[in-house]
Amino acid sequence: MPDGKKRLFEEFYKEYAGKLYGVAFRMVNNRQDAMDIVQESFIRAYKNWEKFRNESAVSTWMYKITLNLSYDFLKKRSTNGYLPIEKDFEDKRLHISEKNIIDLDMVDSIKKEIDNLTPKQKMVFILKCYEELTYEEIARITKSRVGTVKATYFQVIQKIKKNLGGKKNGM
Amino acid sequence: MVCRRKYERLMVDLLAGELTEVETEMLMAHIKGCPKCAGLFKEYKGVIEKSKSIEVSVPESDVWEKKLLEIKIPRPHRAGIKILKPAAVLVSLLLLVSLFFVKMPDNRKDKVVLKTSKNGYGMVLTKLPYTEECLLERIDYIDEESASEILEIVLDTPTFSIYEY
Repeated sequence: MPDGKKRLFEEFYKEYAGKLYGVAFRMVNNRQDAMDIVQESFIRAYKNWEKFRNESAVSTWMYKITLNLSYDFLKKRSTNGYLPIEKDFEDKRLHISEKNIIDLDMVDSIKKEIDNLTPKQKMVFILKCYEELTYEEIARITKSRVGTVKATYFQVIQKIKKNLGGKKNGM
Repeated sequence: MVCRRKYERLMVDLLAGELTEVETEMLMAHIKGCPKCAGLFKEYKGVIEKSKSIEVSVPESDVWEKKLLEIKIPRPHRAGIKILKPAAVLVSLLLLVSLFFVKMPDNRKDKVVLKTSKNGYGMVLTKLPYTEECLLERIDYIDEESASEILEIVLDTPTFSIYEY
């Protein structure tokens, strides 16, 4: 690979590795597995790097490959009957005062709700809520129609809201 | 609650940053005048804000730098595979081609030459590469008597000799 292209790959890696780790981690809930998924995604990107023309195409492709790998991983994990133990979300209990504990309980409940989403719902929710992509970008990544993405995101938010019904203190 | 159905999805779209200016103005105007929708909007806003507050601790940059090196350094076995792959394909091809030239042992005497039976059953138009006993073994799950009958039909010859040994 020419030096210029290598440098571009490095820059892309530095910018996106953390982001993609976040996506993979939110999908699989395990640090090591998320790391492996991100690494595998970049290995695939490195092999195809010369074919890519612009950053937007690469980032879409990278989200796609990371989500696909996470999806495959989740499917494999559900067939093996394995449940993730490790949780590596930032625990803010260490940094905040007691009055905000209720809020944190609600955040815990939201985490559980997210865990219970189907892999496809999770994908849409993560890309919208955390990656702040547009419905159109998400539709491209998940190979669905914009209307489907819109409906899925609404269903997820509605579901979380409904299941948190009894914990409205923080809202 | 008719307006809830009408505006609920729009509320989520607004919080997702997907509404146009006109749509936003229209929705906000409704929310201002409708306490129930205002309450609902607050709930959705709360869910999304709380969801967004869930952070993931991402590994430090030195971890990524090490990982980046692992990607760029070609794996040692890769080069070997590059050379071995075409070689393996070539060898397999040669083996396949050579199979066409392998002469099968000519023990025609022992082989069963099947013919088309008179009554139309057992129509086999090829020579089998195994002997009569083998053929019987292959159909012995029927029972020996029926098998010999079948053979008689197929071969158009008495099978008596088969049982001589």
